[in-house]
Amino acid sequence: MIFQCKNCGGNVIYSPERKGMYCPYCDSEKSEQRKDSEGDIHICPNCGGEVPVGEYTSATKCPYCDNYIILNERIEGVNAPQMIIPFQHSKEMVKKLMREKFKKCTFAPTDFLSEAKLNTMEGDYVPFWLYDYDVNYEYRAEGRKIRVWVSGDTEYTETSIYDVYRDVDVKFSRIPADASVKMPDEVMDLMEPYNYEQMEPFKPEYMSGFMGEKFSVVPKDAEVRTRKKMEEDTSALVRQTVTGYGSLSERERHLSVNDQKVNMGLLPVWKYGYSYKNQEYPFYINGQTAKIVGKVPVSAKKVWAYGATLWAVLTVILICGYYGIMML
Amino acid sequence: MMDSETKKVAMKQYLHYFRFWFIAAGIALALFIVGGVSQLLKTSAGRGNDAAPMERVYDKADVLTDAQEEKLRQLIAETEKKTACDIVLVTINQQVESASSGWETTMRNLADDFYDENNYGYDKVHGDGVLLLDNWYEGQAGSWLSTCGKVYQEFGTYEINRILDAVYYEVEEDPYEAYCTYVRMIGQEMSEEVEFPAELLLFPVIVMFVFVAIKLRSPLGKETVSVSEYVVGGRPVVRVRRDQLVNKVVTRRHIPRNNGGGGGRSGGSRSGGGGGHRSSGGVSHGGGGRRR
Repeated sequence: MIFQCKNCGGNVIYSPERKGMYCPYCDSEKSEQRKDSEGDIHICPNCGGEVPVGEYTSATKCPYCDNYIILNERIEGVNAPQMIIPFQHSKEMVKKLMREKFKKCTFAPTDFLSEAKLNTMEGDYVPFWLYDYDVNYEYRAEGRKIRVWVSGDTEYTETSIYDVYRDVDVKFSRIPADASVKMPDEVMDLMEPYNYEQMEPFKPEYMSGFMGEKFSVVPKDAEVRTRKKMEEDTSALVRQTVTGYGSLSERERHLSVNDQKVNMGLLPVWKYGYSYKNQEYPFYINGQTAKIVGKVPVSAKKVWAYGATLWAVLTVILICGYYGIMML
Repeated sequence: MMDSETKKVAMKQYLHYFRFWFIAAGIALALFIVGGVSQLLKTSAGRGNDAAPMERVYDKADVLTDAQEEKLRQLIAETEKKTACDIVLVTINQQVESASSGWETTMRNLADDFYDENNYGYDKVHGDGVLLLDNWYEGQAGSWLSTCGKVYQEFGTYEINRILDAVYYEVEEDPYEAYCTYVRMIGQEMSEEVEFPAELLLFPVIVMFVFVAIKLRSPLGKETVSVSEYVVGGRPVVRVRRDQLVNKVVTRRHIPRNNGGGGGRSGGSRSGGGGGHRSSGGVSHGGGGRRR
């Protein structure tokens, strides 16, 4: 499907600044009209051009008419996401943030933050499995408290040994694990946290203007990661309720999951695929919180030039300044 | 891949980045030129006193050979150019202790008067210079160092004693070597030449490495998820919380007391104008002696 403007026929997209549908061609708001494609998902509903579609693509852009196409069958039925966090940062906002964050990176290649390169950024709705867990955790440990005092010529050491026991219920809601094989797990983990208060029931309108994917990782595989997070967090949280001991040695722990549930959600990520000297330097920006994750490329030429200049200038200042002052 | 536009931008960024550094280097360079010119003017001014004799070595005790005297004169001439001080050596063989005047007083007066009467001084009469009077008289041997002008200003008791000690250790063995040491030490202490401490050159290298290391640090991103991020209500519900005391043990230890005291420390002080006094001619001299 595509969203067309009732007024001018242009492609209506979701605007993060206006928090609503917007036609960039005639400036109309909420003028969208849904137009479904007929049959073949490879055919652009606007211009009839053949659109290359990846195995998991759910939203893309027509290379001929630049209309954003949402592929119905990839957001319906088993592929239907239950919820979505719409993009909160537009491309312009993210460009500004990128420039602010990396302006101190002197050794970055010159065109790293150039307008032309930054404009290649694409907004991408990444599918996530969101897990709810209802957990009970029992914990037993031996705790020691040590008190030392001095009276006269004698030092007293009092060791008190405690039997520590906790029985705790923890309710987790929507622990995320990305359901995209394309996205590196460690980067997606760094994208967190998302603010779930801005989460909305899924509507295809939100996808217009962005790229999208359906899940390519089954829940069973994603759950390995969410379960690990849940177990680590539970034990850390329970450990936080045990305070005041000089040392603790764990005797027993037991975790049981009473209830669990999984939902599919789309979370917004800006992707900046910068390549330098035949190497990719992908940047990912949380489309909601604008948290930036990525490694800045380094231009060896710049390292040499700046390092050598600093050295030379300092040496000149030192020698000339020293002689100058001593001779005057 | 670098097109000319990108190159231009890179150049602009580079110049902008180092603008203050370049200005500072320019100032240092200007300082160097100004300093060099003023130094040149100073040294080319040369001797400002032609009332003194050319002679610097008076070997009245005859402890040096003629060849040694000649070599010493050459060394003195070179050192004088470097230090802008007159450097005089006088050896004598005469009684300097009498009922009316002690060894020190006589030696001091002899040295000062010799300097004054000969109108020594590099910049002017009774100006910058130094004189070593070495007496070889049996039982009353010893040296006296008389300082004048800027040498008097700069030499404290410490510097005077250092030179006297160096002479004292060598003079009986090899008087020529001892007098050479005296001239060389004056050269080191009073040199007008600026010498750059080479170890300072390490500093820019270190700064450069630190700069590059800091700039090369680029972590992928920070972990910003707390353990209670996905917990409903932000914290767990504690159903049972029990901290039961099961045992208590008390151990004692005797603390050994140690009584001890610390040692004292003493320091010294140093100042210029060591042994300052006024000679019979009314000229300010510094100095000191070492009796053998």
